[in-house]
Amino acid sequence: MRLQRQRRDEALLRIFYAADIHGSDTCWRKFLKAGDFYQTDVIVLGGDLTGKAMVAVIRGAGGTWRARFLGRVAEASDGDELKALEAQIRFNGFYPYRCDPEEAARLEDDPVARQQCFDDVMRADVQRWMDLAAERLGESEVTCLVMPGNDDGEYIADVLAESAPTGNAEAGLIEVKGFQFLSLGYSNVTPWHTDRELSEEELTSRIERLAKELDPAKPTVFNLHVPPYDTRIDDAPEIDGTLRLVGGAGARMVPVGSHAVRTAIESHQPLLSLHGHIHESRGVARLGRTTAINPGSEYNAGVLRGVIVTLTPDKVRSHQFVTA
Amino acid sequence: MTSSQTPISAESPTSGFFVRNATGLVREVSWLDAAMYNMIWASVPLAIAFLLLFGTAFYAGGNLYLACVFAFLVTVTTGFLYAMMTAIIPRSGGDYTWISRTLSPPLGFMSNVSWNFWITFFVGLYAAYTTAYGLSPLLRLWAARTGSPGLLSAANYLDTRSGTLIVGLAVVLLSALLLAFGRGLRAFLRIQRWTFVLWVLGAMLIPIIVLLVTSKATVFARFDHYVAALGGPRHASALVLKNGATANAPFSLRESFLMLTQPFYALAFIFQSVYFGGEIKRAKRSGILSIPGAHVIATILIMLATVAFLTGAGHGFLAGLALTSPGAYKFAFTPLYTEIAAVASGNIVVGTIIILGFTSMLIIFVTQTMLQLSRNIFAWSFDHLLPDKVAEISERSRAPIVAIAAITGASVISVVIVSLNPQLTFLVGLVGLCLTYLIVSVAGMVLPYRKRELFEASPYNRRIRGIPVLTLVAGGSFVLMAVAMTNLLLDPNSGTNWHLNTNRVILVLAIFVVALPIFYVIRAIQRRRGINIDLAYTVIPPE
Repeated sequence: MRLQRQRRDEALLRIFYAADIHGSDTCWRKFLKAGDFYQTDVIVLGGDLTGKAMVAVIRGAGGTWRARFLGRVAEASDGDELKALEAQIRFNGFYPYRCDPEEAARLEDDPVARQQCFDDVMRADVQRWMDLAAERLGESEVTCLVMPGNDDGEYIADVLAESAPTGNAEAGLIEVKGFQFLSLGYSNVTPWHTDRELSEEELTSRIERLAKELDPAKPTVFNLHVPPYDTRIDDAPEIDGTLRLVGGAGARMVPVGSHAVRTAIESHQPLLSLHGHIHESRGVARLGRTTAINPGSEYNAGVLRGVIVTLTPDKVRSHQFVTA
Repeated sequence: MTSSQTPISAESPTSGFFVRNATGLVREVSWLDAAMYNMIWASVPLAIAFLLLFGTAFYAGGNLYLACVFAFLVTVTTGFLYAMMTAIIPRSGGDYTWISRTLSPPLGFMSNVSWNFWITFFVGLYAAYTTAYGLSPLLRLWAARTGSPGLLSAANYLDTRSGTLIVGLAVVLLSALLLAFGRGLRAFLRIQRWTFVLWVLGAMLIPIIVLLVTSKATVFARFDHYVAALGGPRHASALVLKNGATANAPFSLRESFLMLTQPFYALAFIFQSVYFGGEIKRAKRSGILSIPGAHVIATILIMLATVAFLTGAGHGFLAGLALTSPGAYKFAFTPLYTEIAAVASGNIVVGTIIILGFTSMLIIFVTQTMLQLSRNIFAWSFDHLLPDKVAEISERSRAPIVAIAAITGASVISVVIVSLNPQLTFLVGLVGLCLTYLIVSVAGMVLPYRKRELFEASPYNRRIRGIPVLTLVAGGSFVLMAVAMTNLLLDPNSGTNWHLNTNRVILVLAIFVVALPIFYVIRAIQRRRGINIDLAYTVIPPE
């Protein structure tokens, strides 16, 4: 009885965290509902909002459209069929892009035009997502934190700063029910040389710049896209300079997380540290008194992998992985 | 992390499909690795062994080829269903994931508990077979060649309960060490590839060739010489042929159908790669190649072996081996086709390769199954059906040490039970495993309706006359698996005949049912700890 009363009196914070949804419209819509669905105070999207592929939906004769994805050619006529086709493309985390055959050919031949098209499509799509967030979370008491990841162009940070419910979460500390969130979506250097990568020194510098603002009297949650180095939640198959798996029969799993992130966690010891980036390494690690979690990602199946964490001011009471 | 190996970037550059540089998931298992996993796990050589022995002896008038065709037709539909399901839901966990997310979480748990129980039973069985059908015949072969009484007594010792137990435990522990310290799947996949080569050569191609090019008279003469060299009677083949003659009977369609149980033993299990479906590259293509594709190859191999042994040894000799007590020619176990082929080859090196090929399959099966079990209990742990500790990865070995330890413990128990109870037959588990197939079939039937968005966006979203192809395939799988299960319950040689083995059938059902209260007890315990495990299975409606 006494224990129950004590628990009721404790200040709790419930968090839903997901990352790496990579353009999946379904995952974004699920994410926006996660706060009400799981009864959490905060929903956090820890970076990598934008997709990796664009599907040309090519105009044909007589109001027909054609698109190739998932190894098949899909055809649709104007109207509902076209919308359904685009919805299927979005479901898989790809961007549908309507164009005529000449433009499709130009995009294939011209990498600069293709990149510009990608940027335009991704910017517009993230803007559409933020509009949807404003519409769905407008009256909600759930706090929504969103930040760009390493795969999101810097212009995505600008879109979030202007349109996300709480702006770009990595712009500064955000406090929710007495818990302070420190967010950073940059990663260490990857073999792909994506848009937002930093050296370990620069990462340290960015994290410490934010950490200076931390109030030591308040419990802290780190929301850092890249996981800490060598913690099993950062294991990925080793690849070589040509982006091919090393090892032939069965890749070697190697830690690819960030030394800077690990050092920051070890020195600041937040209650909780939330990470994404490495889709295949869902799990939990402990660094001192910090619980570090990576829920993994399965966006291309329309599955929102996430974790629900319940915090008291001095401990992680529970965590639960969900596949929404 | 994404690279050129992922499905999306494999599209033709002229397809209107554009990819940009971005990090993401790398799936490390190729379709070939998955197909090898499936072929080895399905234990094609054991199905051949049992078809040639029991098919000829206990199904009077049954036709071995027809039994293979029946088994193929009954199982290939389920193969297609599994290939489609793993492409639609490219995640690890197999039946547990599909059933719990499509039908109901308790049902998924029940199905998976039953599945895991029986495959753990198979771990014990195969570990025990390693002596009876692997190491003991190998030593016997060498003993006959060298005349060494020490080798013969070692072979005989391995056939005892303690010998079987010691070797079985060693196989389990070696597998555990490989999984614990093999740095992910890397070491396992490498060993599996080499095992596959040895398996194909030793247990399949060489025996087929030997029996096709050796006359019956030579086979019988070499068998007689072999038995005599080991201290048995001088004309063992005559004794075997005499007993085998009693199995001759006019053709019977019914017996041919009942006999499908034997090849079914292999063909019903070429789906196991789905349990690590989340780690396989190009889910659609890999699924088709590694499941129905492997299915076709396995059927061809079984039929080729049947042709070879019916030609080289004859129906009467094969039936006679099963109908003659091995003690009559001083053996502890009835020799399998591999030992016959090794003897018939007349060459110790060739004979050794044959038996090693078969033995390697038995050993790697244990490792494969323990790997599969580790994936399954990992999924339970993530869903909070087991403590978090089970899914923890060791910092030193980068492996789920607690999960591997738990599986090793269960496997050791299985080895002990099977070693000390030789009357337990492999077929006991088949009914239990078929239950899972039936429920997966139901999940497949309803998936297009209960997970409409997932289905529509999947590579298998076609319909015929308005009915999803997936539903049709799943419906076919359900009917055919129900037929196979009925066959197992009717076949007096299946070990799960309803009238002859009622207790075993009840055990199969009990294992399945007992998981239901376990699920609810775990659910209640977790609820008291503030964890609602229902959330793990609940999908947020996006709209």
